[in-house]
Amino acid sequence: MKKFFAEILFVGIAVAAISYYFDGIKNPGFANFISRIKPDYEIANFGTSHGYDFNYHVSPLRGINLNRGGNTLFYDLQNYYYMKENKLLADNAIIVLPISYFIFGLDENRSDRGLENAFVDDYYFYMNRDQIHEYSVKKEVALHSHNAQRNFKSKYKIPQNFKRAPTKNKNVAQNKKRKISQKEKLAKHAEDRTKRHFELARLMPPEKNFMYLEELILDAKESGFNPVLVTVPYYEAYNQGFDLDWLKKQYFERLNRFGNKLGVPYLDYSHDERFTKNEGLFKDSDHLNEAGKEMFSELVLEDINVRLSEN
Amino acid sequence: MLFNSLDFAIFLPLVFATYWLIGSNNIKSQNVLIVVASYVFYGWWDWRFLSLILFSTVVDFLIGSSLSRSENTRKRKYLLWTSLVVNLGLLGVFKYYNFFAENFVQAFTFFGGEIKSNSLNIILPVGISFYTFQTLSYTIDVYRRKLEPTTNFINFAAFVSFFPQLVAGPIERASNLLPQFQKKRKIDYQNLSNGFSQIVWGLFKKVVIADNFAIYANEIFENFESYSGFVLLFGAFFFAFQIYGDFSGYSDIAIGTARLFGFNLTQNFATPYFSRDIAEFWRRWHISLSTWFRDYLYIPLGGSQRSLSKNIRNIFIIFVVSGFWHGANWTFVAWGALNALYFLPLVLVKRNRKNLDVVAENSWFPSIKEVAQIGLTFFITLIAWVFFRADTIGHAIKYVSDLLAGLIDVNSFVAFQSYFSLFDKSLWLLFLGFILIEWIGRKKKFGLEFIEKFPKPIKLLSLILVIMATLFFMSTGKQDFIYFQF
Repeated sequence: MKKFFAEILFVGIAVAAISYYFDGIKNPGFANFISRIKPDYEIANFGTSHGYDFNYHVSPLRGINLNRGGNTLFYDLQNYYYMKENKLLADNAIIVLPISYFIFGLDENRSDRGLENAFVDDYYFYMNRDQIHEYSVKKEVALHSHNAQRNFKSKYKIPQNFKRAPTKNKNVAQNKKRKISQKEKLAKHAEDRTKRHFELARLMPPEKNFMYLEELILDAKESGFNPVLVTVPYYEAYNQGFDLDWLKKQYFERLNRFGNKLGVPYLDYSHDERFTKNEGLFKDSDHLNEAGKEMFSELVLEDINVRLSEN
Repeated sequence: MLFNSLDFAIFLPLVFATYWLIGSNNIKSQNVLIVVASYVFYGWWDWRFLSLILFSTVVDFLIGSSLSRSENTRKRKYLLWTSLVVNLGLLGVFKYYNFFAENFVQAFTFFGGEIKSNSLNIILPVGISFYTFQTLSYTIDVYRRKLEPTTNFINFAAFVSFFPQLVAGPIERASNLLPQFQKKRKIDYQNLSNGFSQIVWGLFKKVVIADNFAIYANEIFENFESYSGFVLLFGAFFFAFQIYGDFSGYSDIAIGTARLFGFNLTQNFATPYFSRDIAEFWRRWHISLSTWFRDYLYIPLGGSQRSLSKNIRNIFIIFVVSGFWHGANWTFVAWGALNALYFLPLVLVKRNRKNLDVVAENSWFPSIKEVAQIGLTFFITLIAWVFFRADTIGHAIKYVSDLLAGLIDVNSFVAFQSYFSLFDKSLWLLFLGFILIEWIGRKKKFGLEFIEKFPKPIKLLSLILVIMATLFFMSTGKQDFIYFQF
C-alpha cells in the first residue's frame, strides 16, 4: 500500500507541476489583459461593450478601457475593487461608468447566455473567490485545466481544434452580398439588437444592480476618485427600437434621480444629434467607429472636466 | 456521476480511503460502504431511479431465497418467470414501451385502422439494461442450481449496485462477482498499480480518442448528404473509434476501479479491431454481453448442437436480440441482423472458431494475409456501425450506398483529400500512438498493462506522459458515455 501511495503521490505531483507550469504561461482573454496593466491610471472606464466608445489617446490623461462585452454591474464593482486594491488607479482618478439601457436587467453571472456561466470564466483567473458570484471549485479546476491545455497547444503550435475551418473564398462571398447603404445597415442592425437588448433590460428587477452601482460610486467617492455616469451616443434607429415610455420612466428618470441622490455627474449623449443622425460615425447601431470614438472622447473629456470642476 | 468528472475524482479517493480504513477484516462494513457509495454514485444522476434498483434487488433476492428452499419444479418455474417478468417488464416499460406503442399504431394505420398513439414521456434510467441482465443472471443460475443463492441481503445489494460497473457494465455473472463480496479482499500492490494504470488508459480512450472523434463523426453523420463517399467512410471510421474508445474506455475505468477495491471484473474488450474475422470480433467486443446471450439465450435455444438451419436461426435470434438490447430503434435491429449475415458464411464453412488466438501471437508484426483479413473485417464492421449510428434505416441505407458509390469515384477521392488535409497532424500522431499501445498490449487485459513490466522510473514516466496527453488533448466539450443510453 505504501509503495502504491508513494507512486501515486509522485505521479500526482508531477502532473500538477506540469499543469501548473502551463497554466501559468498566459491567462485567457480579459484576464490576460488585466494581468498586464500597470499602475496609476488617471481615467478608467468600465461597463459593457458600449465603453469601447472611449478612446483615451485623445486625452493628456493616462487612461484605460476596462469595459467588456455584456459586462454586469456586479463585475464592474469587482473590477473596480481589483483596480483599487492593486493600486492601479492614480489619486483622484476619474471613474467613467457607461450605463447601457439594458444593464439593470442583467443577473450577476449572465445566466441568460447559457454555457454554464461561460461569461464569468475570465474572472476566475484574477479575482478572489469572494468576488465571484456563485463561486465553484469545480469550475475553477476545469478552467485552469483548459487554460493549461490551451497554453500547451499554443506553445507547441498545435491548433486548438484538430480540424481547421476551410478557407472561404472571400471575394465570392463579398460579391454575393448586395451592396446596402450605411443607413440601411444600421437600421437592420438596430432592429435585431434592440429586440435582444430590450429583452435583457427586463430580465431581472433592477434594484440589485442599482445597489452594486451605488456601492461602486460611494466607495469611489470615499476613496477620493471621481465617478461619472455616462450614456454613450446611439444611432437614432437604436433609440427608436426601445419603448420610449419605458426608456423615460425606467431608465432616464431613475438614473437622473440616482445621480442626484449620490451627487455624481450624469452625462447623457444617447440622443445627442451630433451623433444620432450621423451614420458616418457608427460601426453599428450602438457602437461608434474610429472617427466617432475620437469625436465622442474629445467631447466627453471636456464635459467631464467641466462637470467635475462645477462639483 | 460520470467517470470523467471532477465529482468522481473526489468521490473515488474518499470511498477508497474509507474502504481500506475500515479494513479487510471487516467485510460486512466494507460491503455496506460499497452499497451506500454505489447508491450515491447512481443517485448523483437521478436519485428517483434508485427505487428501481432497490426494487429489482429486493425482488431477485427474495426469489433467489425462495428458489433455494423449494424443490417443487412447478413452483421453481413460477418463481423464475416472476423474476423474468419483473425485470424484463421494467426494461419493457422504461425502454421499449414507446417503441412498441408507436410501431403498433403505424402497423394499425397501415392496414387502414385508426388509433391514437399513447406515447409516454419516459426518461430511460441510466444503466437499466446492464443491472437488469446482471440480476437476471443470478436468478437463472440459482434456478439452474449452478449457484448457491446468498442469504446476505447486503452482499446481494452490493453485487447488483457495485458502482464501478453499475451503469455500463461489464455485465457481471453472479458466479464471478457475488462470491467476491463474501470473502476477504486483499490489498496488494500489483492490483492497485494495475488498477490505476487501467483507469488512466480508460480515461485516455474516452476523453481523447472517443470525445475528439465524436466531434467529427457527429458532423459527418448529421450532414451526410453533403459529403462525398470517401468522407463518409471517414465518418464511419471516426464513429468506430468513438464507440470503441467510449465503451472500452468505460470498461477499463470500471475494471480498474474495481481492482482498487480488491475485485476482479470480467474483461469486456480484447482489441476487437485487430480481429481477423467477424466471429473473432464478436469474441472480443463487449464480451460480457456476448457471453450473456450465449449462455442464457443461444445455448438454451439449442446453440449449434442441432441442425444447421436451427443453428442459423439461433444466430439470427441472438444478434437481433442483442441489437434490440442496445436501443428501441429499428436501426439497432438492422445492425444486429447485418452482423448475423456477416457471421453466416463462417458458420456454413465451419470456420467461425478458427481464430481463437491473438493475431501475430509470436511475432511483432502481422503477416500480409493477416493485415488483409483485419482490414476486411474492420471494413465490414464500419458498414455495420453506420446502421448503429444512423437515425433511421433510410438514412443508413443512403449513407452506405453513397459511401460505396464514392469508393469508385475519383472526384470523391479528391474531395476526401481536401477534407483530410484540414486535420492537423497532431490528431493522427495521437491516434497512431493509441493504436501502437493497443497493438503492443493486445495479449494483455488492457492496452497499457505492458508498462507494469518496465523499470519503475520508466513506468512512472509513461503514466505521467499518458496523463498529460489526456489533459492536454482531451476534448473540452463534455460528451456522455454512449452506452449510458442502453
